[in-house]
Amino acid sequence: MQQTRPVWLKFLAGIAGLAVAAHLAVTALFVGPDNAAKDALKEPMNAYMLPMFQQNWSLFAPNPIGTERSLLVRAWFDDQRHTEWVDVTELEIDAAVLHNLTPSRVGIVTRRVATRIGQQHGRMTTEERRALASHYHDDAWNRLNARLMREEDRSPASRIAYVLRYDRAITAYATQFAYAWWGEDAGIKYVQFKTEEERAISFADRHRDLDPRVTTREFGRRPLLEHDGQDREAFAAAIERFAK
Amino acid sequence: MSAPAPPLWNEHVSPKLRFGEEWLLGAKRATYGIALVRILFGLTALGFLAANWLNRHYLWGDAARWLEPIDDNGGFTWPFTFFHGGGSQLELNLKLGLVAVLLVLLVLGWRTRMLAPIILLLWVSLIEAQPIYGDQSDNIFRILFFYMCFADTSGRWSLDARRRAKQAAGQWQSPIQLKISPELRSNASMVAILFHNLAILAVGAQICIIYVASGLYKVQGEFWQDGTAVYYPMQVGQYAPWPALNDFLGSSALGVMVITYFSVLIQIFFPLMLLRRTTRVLALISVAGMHLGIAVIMGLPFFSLFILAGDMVFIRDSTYVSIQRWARGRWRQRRDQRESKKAAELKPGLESEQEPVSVSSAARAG
Repeated sequence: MQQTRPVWLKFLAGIAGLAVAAHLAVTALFVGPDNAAKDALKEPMNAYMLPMFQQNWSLFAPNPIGTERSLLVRAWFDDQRHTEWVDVTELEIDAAVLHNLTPSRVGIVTRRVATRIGQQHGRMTTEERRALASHYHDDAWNRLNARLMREEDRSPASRIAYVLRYDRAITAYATQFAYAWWGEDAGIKYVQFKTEEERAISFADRHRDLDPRVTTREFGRRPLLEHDGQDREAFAAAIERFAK
Repeated sequence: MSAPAPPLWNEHVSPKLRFGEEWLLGAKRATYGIALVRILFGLTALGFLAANWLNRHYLWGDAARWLEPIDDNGGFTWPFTFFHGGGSQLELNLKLGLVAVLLVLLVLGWRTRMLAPIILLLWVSLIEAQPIYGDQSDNIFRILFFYMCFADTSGRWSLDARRRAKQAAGQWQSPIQLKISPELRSNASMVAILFHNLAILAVGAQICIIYVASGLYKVQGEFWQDGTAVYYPMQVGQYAPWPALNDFLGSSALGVMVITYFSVLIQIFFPLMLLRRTTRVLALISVAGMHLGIAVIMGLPFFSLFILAGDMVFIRDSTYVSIQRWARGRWRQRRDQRESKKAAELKPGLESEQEPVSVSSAARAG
């Protein structure tokens, strides 16, 4: 069957075809492992690909995830008396993932914040970690920021800002959790969180009865923090469901 | 030897250009495959909403306001801000209800040309409202669905297709009659074919890029090289919905090695295996098996289903047509059996022992 197609259509097909080919080539470069070309073209490529074509396929690679990361929360009634620690990540995973064919996103929430703050905490200096582990009962993040930024041998300002942003967010989470778990009228004054990273026993040692290696990242007491519009009731209802 | 044209052009370049032109402009490609992608995407997204429905306020509503300091909408700005900043319980219920209704319409294939971009916008808005607990399935959905907005996803198995068929047969008329010249209409449909085919290409290429990139990252890793990699994620609670199953799988060194190497090899060689029919079938069955494992053992069903949906474009239309013919034949056969059975019951005098005999003979005939 001989067909004569209009020239403009063939032209359009050529141009559009080239555009798609170029787009796919950039995608391939963007998602591929690091190399010289990817490094040289990083900025224009990111400007084009982000955020619409953002993607990352190094899932479980080069090294598979093998670390259990958890967020633990406790509350303080004054600067002496505190509650026990609650592993809120375990709570979420038991509720949303364990024995579930269609796990809910609920299983990732606190694990992700713990992972993010933990990774940056791991890159901080001993002095910075000591500052984060200190108790601040009022004006916590301004004073922490001032203290961290004063250090002579300090992390980049962006990392400090990042960690403090997550510190604030997790404190706000811990506040909601404390209200939901111990009650709004329990007389809670402060909250505290820490993260735990438990590395899987290596494959070779899987049959030996070894204690898992756990890294704990300490953060100090923080004042209660609640953002405008925070729905305490819906939050507490969710925690209640998880605890069942 | 009479024509002075260089043989390289005549014998190699020109036929390929003609093939490319015909492929892009001749007819819509993978019409069944992309329709199946549409249906699976819609069903999976509905499943995702259902799985998170009880906790919707905790995840995306005002109960998640504690995330405010790290809330950047994933870098997306307007128009992807429909769910940004949470929402009261009523507001979120209504918005998610709207998304669910549109997804049902997507599965049914109702006005997908208009619906697809709206769904893309709403879905990205929802996911990016709290990208911190997102995963790669969100990226697959967003990117493939963006390409699908340029394709005719409801050419088959849809209300749109049924309506178009009725319209062509003169049984139905659109209430909205736009005055478009026949020439413009025919030009528009030629451009639509081009865009559809480029979108199919983009979907297929994106899937291949995902597999090959994943494979290339894996071969760099020590544990993927020594064949123990799949053991490690199974030790993490989030990827271990069935701990007893993981203990069982992890106990066999041979099993762990086979699964580890299989995952790497199938990913790296996926595009090459598509080139021949036999290896293509093998490749598609293999990735389906791999994703079934990821879905159940690692607890990532939505990730698996979205990417597996994308694989459906690699199955040829002719295959879908034969599957459809077979399924219709079976259905008709069952229906006839049921009717003859009913007829037999209405006439109690007839010997009912003959029934099973006729069933098996009909099955053999089919």
